[in-house]
Amino acid sequence: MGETIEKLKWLLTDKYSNKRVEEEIRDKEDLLSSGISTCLGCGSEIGLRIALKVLGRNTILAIPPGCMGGVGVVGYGTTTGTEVPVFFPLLDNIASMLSGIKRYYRRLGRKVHVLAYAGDGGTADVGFQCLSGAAERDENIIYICYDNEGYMNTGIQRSGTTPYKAWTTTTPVGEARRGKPQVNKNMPLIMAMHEIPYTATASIAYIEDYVSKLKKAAEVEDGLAYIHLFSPCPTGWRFSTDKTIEVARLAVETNFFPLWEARYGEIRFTKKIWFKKPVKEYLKAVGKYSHLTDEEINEIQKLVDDRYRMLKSLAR
Amino acid sequence: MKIEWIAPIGKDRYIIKTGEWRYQKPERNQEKCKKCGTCLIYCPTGSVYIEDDEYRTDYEFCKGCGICASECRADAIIMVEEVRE
Ligand code: SF4
Ligand code: SF4
Repeated sequence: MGETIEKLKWLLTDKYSNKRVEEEIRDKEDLLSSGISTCLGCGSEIGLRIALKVLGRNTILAIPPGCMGGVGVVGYGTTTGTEVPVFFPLLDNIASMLSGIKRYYRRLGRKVHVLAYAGDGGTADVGFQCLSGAAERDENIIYICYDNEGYMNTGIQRSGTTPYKAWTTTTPVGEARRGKPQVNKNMPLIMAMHEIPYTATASIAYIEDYVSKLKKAAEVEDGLAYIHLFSPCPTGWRFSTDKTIEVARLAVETNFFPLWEARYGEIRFTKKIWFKKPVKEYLKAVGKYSHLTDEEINEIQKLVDDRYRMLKSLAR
Repeated sequence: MKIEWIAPIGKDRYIIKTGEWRYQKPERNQEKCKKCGTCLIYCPTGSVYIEDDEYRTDYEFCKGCGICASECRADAIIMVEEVRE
């Protein structure tokens, strides 16, 4: 009897759904070198490893300057960190360079996935104009932004997607200032409003959801597919290295980072949260918010609620 | 000559022995393991593999982050201090 209850409890956990996706991806070839020097518990490494497993060998990868470039995915000299061709575009021409590559292959008559794996700096700040242009021109590329909410590779500076009140080295916490005074860009929604064929948000805690979105992005043939991947960073966000997945899960469960997808601008939620948690639980788990007072937490709760309401009013 | 790739594929893999960074290492209790695969999909370095129908860890690249231990719902993995001669 006790054993049956134990088993039932086990079946009901969220984590059990991992089994399905695990069976799907475990035998796929791992195209990313295991020995790249990401920090312990890096979320972006999980994201890239799974993306390459799903998209397979027929992929051309662009990694702009950022964490993934710095840790050796692009490699040095004659070495590379992946088993697919990999490029090192500049921060401000990622999407335009890939557009050219895609057009070249289309002319040759070969079907390849052209993939960008760029950080939030290269996407929301520096590389934004060329990404927006490529989206408008309907260039057929897959663009994944791994959002670790700052320029982590150069020493944790603020970026356009660093959230309100978050600590970084350029938005310090002291008497005059308490973290970032501005609200972050709503980058995935900006991309959805380009009305491109496919836009999605994904989180490394929900791999099944992420894999299905990758597959949909790979099927797009008439324009740009954009995935905004929430990728916690233990070093820059100040939490212990084993909590990466837990933090990512909390962000979804508190509606801080809702999961949705959009086809030609039409939004649909992909993960329904039945028991919404207060944002406080997420903020308490992350060290970069440890200075927040109750008042400031309420302020953030209101911002999160407002954003979620706006998203809901846009969704089907 | 027909050009096949316009992007280079590296001659060799870029590899750092990240296993040397580890100060704690995951140890799996095979009796408690429910074979759910959670540790396999969440491991950043891709160090978990299946052999003889058992989930095992390859210590060559495992950095000892502890994600597998804290995500395992069956508490089958514990982190122990790494001892090196
Ligand atoms: S997460 Fe735990 S129970 Fe599941 S396969 Fe890994 S060790 Fe076994
Ligand atoms: S400790 Fe980290 S790197 Fe090592 S097997 Fe577990 S999840 Fe992978």
